[in-house]
Amino acid sequence: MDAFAAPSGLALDPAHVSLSALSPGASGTVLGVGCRSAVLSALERRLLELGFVSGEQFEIVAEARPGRDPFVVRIGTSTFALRRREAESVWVEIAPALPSP
Amino acid sequence: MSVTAAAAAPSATLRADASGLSLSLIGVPNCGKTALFNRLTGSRQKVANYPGVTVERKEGRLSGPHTGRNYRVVDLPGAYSLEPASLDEAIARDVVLGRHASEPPPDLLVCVVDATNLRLNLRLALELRRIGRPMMVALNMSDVAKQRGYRLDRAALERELGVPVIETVAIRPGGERALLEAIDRFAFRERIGRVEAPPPATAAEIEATQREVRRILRDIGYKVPPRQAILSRLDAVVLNPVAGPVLLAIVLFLMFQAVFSWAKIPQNGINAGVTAVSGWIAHAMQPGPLRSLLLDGVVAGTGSVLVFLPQIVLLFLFILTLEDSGYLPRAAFLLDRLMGKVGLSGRSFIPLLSSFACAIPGIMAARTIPSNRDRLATIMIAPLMTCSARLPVYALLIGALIPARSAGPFNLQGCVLFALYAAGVLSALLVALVLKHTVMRGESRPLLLELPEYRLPNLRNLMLGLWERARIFLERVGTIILTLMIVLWFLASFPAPPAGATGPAIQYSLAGMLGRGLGVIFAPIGFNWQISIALVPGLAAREVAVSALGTVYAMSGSSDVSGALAPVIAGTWSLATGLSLLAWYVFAPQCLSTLAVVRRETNSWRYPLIMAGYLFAMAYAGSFITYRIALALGGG
Repeated sequence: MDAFAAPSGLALDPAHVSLSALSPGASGTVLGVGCRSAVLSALERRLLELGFVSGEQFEIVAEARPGRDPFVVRIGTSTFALRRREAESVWVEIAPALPSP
Repeated sequence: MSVTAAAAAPSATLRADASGLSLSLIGVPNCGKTALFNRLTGSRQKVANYPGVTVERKEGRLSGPHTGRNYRVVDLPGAYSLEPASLDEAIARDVVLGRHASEPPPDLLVCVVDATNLRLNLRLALELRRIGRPMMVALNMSDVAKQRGYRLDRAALERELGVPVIETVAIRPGGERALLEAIDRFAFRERIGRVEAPPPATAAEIEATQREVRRILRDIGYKVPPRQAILSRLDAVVLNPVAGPVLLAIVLFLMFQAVFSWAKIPQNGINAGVTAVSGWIAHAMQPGPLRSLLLDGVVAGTGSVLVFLPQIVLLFLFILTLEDSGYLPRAAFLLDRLMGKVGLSGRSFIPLLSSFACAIPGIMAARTIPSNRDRLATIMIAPLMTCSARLPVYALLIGALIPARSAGPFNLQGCVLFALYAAGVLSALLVALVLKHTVMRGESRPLLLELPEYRLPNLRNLMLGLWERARIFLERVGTIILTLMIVLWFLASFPAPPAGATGPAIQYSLAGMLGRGLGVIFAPIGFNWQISIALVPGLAAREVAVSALGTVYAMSGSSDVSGALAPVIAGTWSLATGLSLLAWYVFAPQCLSTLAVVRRETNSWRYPLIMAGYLFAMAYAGSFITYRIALALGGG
């Protein structure tokens, strides 16, 4: 997981990954969008406005074939379809996998 | 509560002249804003376009139940934010700020929020509140929210926001009543003019606003029940990489099937009506120019187009239902990859699907595409989606020339029709691919598309939408098509043939001369002079070509052919000519309204000219190849 370049300011925690790397079924909590130091891109602004903000719960719902792209993310109480590239700057903490009963 | 009371208190600055107050409805896409607008204004609305540029505008009127004041209501395009990401959102922002060139600053903003998704909706309300215009919040879908077990304290929300918050139920009669009364009680002050746009928020500021939204939701006790399991299961099928595309194919196939099989009964009714009217005229009037004008021009011309009303209504019924149910954005997701191959995104799917009904709403729907490049590419290929105006032409020619026998398990006529639609789609993909590698290079831009919650379509909204489309079609029949038919009748009647002439009168008329002139151009692709004449009025509206053929043959035949054009065509045209005309209409460059809309939407002559040029070239080439191959195979 630490192969991903994390933005400055975020700890290199192995559970911290880019949303774009996840597969259907994965869920967790959003940490933030983009890097604090860099200028906010129009896409990043829109992601923030749509609710990709720190503390929000997410779940990957589906992905298209072939190429696993675009994919569908449920965040808070909304659902969005987006391409993996568009989700690259969304940093998340994945929930620990529940022990199977 | 306190806020409403304060607002209602008499004030020295109250608007003395309370007439012509304007309200703007604004909200994020899918918040039920348009349904609420329909509820507020009923049929007292008109759809227009913002002059100069883009975008459909919906305006309606309502009068206050107490004061009798008249209000102008404008339904703004859906917007997630005042920092626009599309043309649509830019217009909503400009109107709200009062800097739109042709729209007065609103006296009151009605921010419509979806009570079942306040997390997404409330941020825009906070952003709007900062602008400082008088505002109220319509808490829409409050019935669904209550039924499904959402909990929220309206009065607390009103206190938090500092503006009146009114519960509305857009889909139920009377669900707009409370809002109507609140508007009527509202103490309007002097209109606030243009407001400067706030500087773009930084990431920290947006995050702060989002934290504020979440704090408010916590404080008003907003509780969201877990998503209904059935909806998640539905998504698991609809969005499934295998089942999803299969389902999409079935839905589209059913749509085209229904358009042709269900429409038969009402179509037969209309046909019978037209025949009855022409029979009555033929008996009641003495033979002469006026009878000919009425029979051959008016009845034969408009009747042959009117008969396609049921098909157009059915097509729109499907498209509007799919739109209302929340399925279309999911289809866009499924098709994103495929459309990405030709340089488009899944977002282009919705405008292109609308173009099967008519390219004009399709081209206007392209304004929701954030990327200008994608938007232009979508506009350029929209006319290749076979619009409903081409249906009359296809239906006539297929009925006349293709035998109604079965081809394996399918109907041969149906297969030809499907092939024509497929030819349109394939050439659209081809053109998009060419555009991607020539004039419209560059990366396709973001998909980022909300998949709204599934909803049962509302019957009343569907009916209003259908009525709107049917009305537009009938107006076309009553105005432009009728006018053209009368003009064509005159061209086909005068000058009268010289004494002792043997051929049909139309051959000596202006139309006959014009047709023979154009026939030189169209002879290589197998069109006779009657078709050549019919193509000219077809410039104004494609379906007119059928009316025009009806009139031309009515004028040149020895007997009355109104209502029976198909046998005449079957008897006089070669199969190659018929197939060639079908191929022509796959590309059909002749629709002036489409070109005019493209001119307006792109604000330049460049794109409509390129479009007309490439469509004409493809139509001519397609017809030429079809005609020559058909001749070689013995279809002459």
